[in-house]
Amino acid sequence: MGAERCGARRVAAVCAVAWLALAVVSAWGAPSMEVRFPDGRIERFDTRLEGARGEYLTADDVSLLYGASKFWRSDLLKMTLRIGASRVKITVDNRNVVIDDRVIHLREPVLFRDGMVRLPLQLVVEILPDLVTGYAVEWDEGRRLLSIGSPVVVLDDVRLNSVSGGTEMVITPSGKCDVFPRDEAAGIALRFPGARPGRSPLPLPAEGSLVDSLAWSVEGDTAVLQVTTDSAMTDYSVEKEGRPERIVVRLSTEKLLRRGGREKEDLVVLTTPKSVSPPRRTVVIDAGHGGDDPGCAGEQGLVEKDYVLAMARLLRDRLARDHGVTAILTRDGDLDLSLTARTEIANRAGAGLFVSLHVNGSPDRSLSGAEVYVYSPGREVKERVNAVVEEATSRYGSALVGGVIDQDFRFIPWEAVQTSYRGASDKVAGRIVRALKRLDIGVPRGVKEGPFQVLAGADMPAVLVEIGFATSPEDEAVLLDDRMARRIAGALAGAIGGYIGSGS
Amino acid sequence: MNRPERFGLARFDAVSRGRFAAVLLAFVLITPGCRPHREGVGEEEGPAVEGGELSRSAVLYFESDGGELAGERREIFPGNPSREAFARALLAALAGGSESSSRRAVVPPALETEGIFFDDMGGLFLDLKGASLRSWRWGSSSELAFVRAVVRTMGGSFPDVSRVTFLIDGERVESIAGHVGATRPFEVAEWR
Ligand SMILES: [Zn+2]
Repeated sequence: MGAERCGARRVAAVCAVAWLALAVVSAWGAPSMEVRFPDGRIERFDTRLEGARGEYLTADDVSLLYGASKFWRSDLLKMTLRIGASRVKITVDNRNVVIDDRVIHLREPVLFRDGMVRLPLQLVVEILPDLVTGYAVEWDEGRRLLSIGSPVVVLDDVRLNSVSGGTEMVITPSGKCDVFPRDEAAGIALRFPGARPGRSPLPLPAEGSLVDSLAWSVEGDTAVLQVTTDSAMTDYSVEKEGRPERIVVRLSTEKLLRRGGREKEDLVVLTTPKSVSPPRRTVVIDAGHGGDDPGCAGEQGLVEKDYVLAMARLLRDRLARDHGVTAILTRDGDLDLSLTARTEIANRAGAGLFVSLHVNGSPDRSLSGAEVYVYSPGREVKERVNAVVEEATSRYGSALVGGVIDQDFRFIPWEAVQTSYRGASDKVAGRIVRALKRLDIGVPRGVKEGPFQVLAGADMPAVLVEIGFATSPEDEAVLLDDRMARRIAGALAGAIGGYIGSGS
Repeated sequence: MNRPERFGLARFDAVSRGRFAAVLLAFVLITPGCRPHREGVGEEEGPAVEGGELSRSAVLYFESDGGELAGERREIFPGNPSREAFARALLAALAGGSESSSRRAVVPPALETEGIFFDDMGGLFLDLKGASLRSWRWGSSSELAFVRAVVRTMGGSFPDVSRVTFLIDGERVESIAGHVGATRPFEVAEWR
């Protein structure tokens, strides 16, 4: 990366000293290292510096790797790097580095070459990683690999309080953290995946505490707090609190009452599954945007909110005429309508399918063609769903299998209602993509997924159709052609009618 | 703010090694003794009091041909050492576009922020000015690209940030442009 910055003249210089550099390099080991970034990507960094003993990385590289701010005094050839809460002061051609008030003597001096401050590898991989806060940096000398970890949750704050009827332990993690208690012969093991113990010593239990001793251990990427409990302990509870994030463990000499009730967002919905519901021949067509939100606009006059409303009306007529399917529009005029209001209309109508119509946009005018999106929730929603299903399973036992109780009711959190239709939504999306492909609108882009808000709350199969790109002059011309608009409506009606008719 | 004339890394890039000695000599001759050198003062929100030109390296994401995102290594000059200033400068650089003509910005060029906040739980909040988001070529494709480019750039530049939340004019919104849900934070790990 650093090499790219160098001018063309440098190439000649590099060639001239290439044989020398090779010789130098072979004397000091491999001339490069690898960096593994938090996303798993591995990148090679050149550590060779012609004519210098030892290996170097540029200050720019260090800034990127350690999130360091650089303050460069070109007049004094001094640089201050701010890493975490520390200040690292370096001077070109000097072996001394001042970190806060500590002076460290390096084997090689800091250098300035080709307009770049070069830091000895010793400083970069042996000394600076300790200054990084918020995430872990590890240097593997053998593999010459610097691993920049994902954010690590540190469990540095553990307190024991004496409370009436027992002992309370409060753990304050440095970030979001899960805890899984496990009963053991001598007490409880609290497992914290993705976290590591802090450096502060654990508290010593007071006289009469239900905790006899505390000890940390580490299993892979999981920190484990071994809690040895007193024989007087009868029951315990582990509760997570948010804002600030705390984990409260209550140890009691009596049976504890569990705190019930979940957040409102975790409301679960019980509905009859498709197999026992009557065939739903009503389709809800949603013309995207509207009112103050015009959506995308093209250069030849296409305005998304108007175009998709006209298309929704055409489609409603074609569905009724050609397929005997009733279509309800979420808006039959130029109205402001929230995204959740749109699926609410479909849910109230008991529709068998929800189709949101849009025209796409991109800064790239060459992007063209139709694409159809299905809903895919983020990981956080998926985790919450799992947690709710787990709790439901523990409450209702084996009657609840895969979210279905006795085949009569589905039991899923409302947030995830659309995920239970994913298979059917995929089928509809496939039908629509195939139907639009025949119309030659740009380069068809297929079925894609994403956390689309307008699909999230649909209690039925749901798709979002981007008919073409308003930002592609070719697509826009095709979409604005009246005859083509009727053909698009016909193709959409064919795909939707086919799906409703087939029942799958 | 005591900001010395810009004669740092960027200008030196173009100077060959052969000229370096001459430039250094010129410095020795024209630099008057000791300039006030206010090192080690000031805190997060303060100006660039460390002395010297402040910069940070970052990887910015732009859309390359075919709609894929491509990373581009850049020097960012935030003008202020705070994280907020760096995040603001990153957004401005994303909006300013790529150095390569084969890549396009997926952030509206007029984008402005009302505020930028970090919590201590790995959350970054970008409060965008609604008016600055209008008249952009929004569609599902460009909205997804916007989210991905911003979240990847921020996640890469602040390794301790694990979630990015977008607000518009101080409010949580259903969506930035009418498609992708924005009520919840976007997790950096999911938008790589
Ligand atoms: Zn749209």
